[in-house]
Amino acid sequence: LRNPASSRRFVGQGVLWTSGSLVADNWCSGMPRFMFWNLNSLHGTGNDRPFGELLASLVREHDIEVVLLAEPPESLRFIHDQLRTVGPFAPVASSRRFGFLTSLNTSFVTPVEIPVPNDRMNIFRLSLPLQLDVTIAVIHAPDRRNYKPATQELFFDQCRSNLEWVEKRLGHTRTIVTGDFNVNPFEGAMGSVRGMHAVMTRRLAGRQARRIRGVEYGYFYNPMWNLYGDRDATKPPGTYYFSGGDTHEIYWHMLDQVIVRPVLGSMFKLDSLRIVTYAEETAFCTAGGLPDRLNASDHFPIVFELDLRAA
Amino acid sequence: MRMADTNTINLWPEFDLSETALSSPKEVIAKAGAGLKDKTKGLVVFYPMRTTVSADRIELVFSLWVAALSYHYPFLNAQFPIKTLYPVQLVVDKFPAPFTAVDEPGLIAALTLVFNADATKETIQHLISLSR
Repeated sequence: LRNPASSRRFVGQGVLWTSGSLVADNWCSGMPRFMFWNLNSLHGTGNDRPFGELLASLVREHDIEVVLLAEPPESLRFIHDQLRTVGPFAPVASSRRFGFLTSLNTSFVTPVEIPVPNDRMNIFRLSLPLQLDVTIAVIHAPDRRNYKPATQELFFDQCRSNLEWVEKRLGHTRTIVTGDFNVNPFEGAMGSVRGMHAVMTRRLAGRQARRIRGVEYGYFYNPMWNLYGDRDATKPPGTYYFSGGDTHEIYWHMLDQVIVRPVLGSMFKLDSLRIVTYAEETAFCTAGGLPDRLNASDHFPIVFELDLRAA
Repeated sequence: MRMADTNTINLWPEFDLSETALSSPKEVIAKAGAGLKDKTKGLVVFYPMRTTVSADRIELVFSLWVAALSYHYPFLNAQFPIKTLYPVQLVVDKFPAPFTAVDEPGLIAALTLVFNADATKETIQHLISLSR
């Protein structure tokens, strides 16, 4: 950039970022912020919990513009009413298992039909003016307590083929998948070519697609790996806690995730990705730091942001 | 001893509220960008969309708001130290490198360049077309 002004007062300083994104990772970009939360209210007590108020405080505090929910209460009316006190939120049609509310103009969001409709996977196209179109898939995978591993495997296989079909149809691979995957990032369903084929670094995901026995398998980048552990003791080490009786228990699980295709890797704002345990005055966790299933949900929400401006 | 009635007496000293008082970078940027509304007959408005305050810095996002579409396009990020206000770092849509302005005239010079750049004019022209 040539700079016509005095170099003492005003200097083009060169590139400050290394991620390839227009704005450095530690800057908030003003781009749409997304959140996903499994409210765990399909079975029973969902209407007793103040989801509207919880979501309103979360949306206010984190400037969320796209709210994606799994297992919302039967009626989204209370949530919608509360969100409208924060901004011009409106619902987008989705299957009963999900909720999609946004403060963006809903004409920018189009549900995408898939060849074999699946109530555990919804796909949307987000087209913001002057920004790159993206495909957003929200999923709620079968859980291991109620389904056999073969069923989970089949589900992820179908997800992958649905996504590939949509990518081919829309002519790009700018795909974001978020939801309750009901498996951890290190498990086969997330990492294997028979699953989501999501790997832990942008560099790995940016390599050429793998070819195995003549079939090509594209990667996803899974940024959730960054959130494991207790290096920052103020943040939870996962989105779901389970105290089982098996000989090998890891207790904290990262079931709620967001993964992106490598083409979006540099646009994903890594510093924006967080597991949320409170918003404003409201805690979503117990005094012991576990998800508060009685007053909020047995899952923590996640929030993230992407810079979709074409460079 | 009778206490002074603090309800009626203002204990604060006088402050300089004149134009010559030091303006914050937020104010400078907002003022510099405000004229867009007139230039586009209200179709596109430049406005401060988000302010994030950390221990030592303030970060601002200025957007281009298109009312007809209920749509904001993030256009400019500014970051500056709370204590000294300058230098201000600007990251601007479609500009490959950030700017650093060391004082107010430098900030105005940077904004003049940014607002008049072909890339900016193209973006705003596009948003005007979409809003009609």
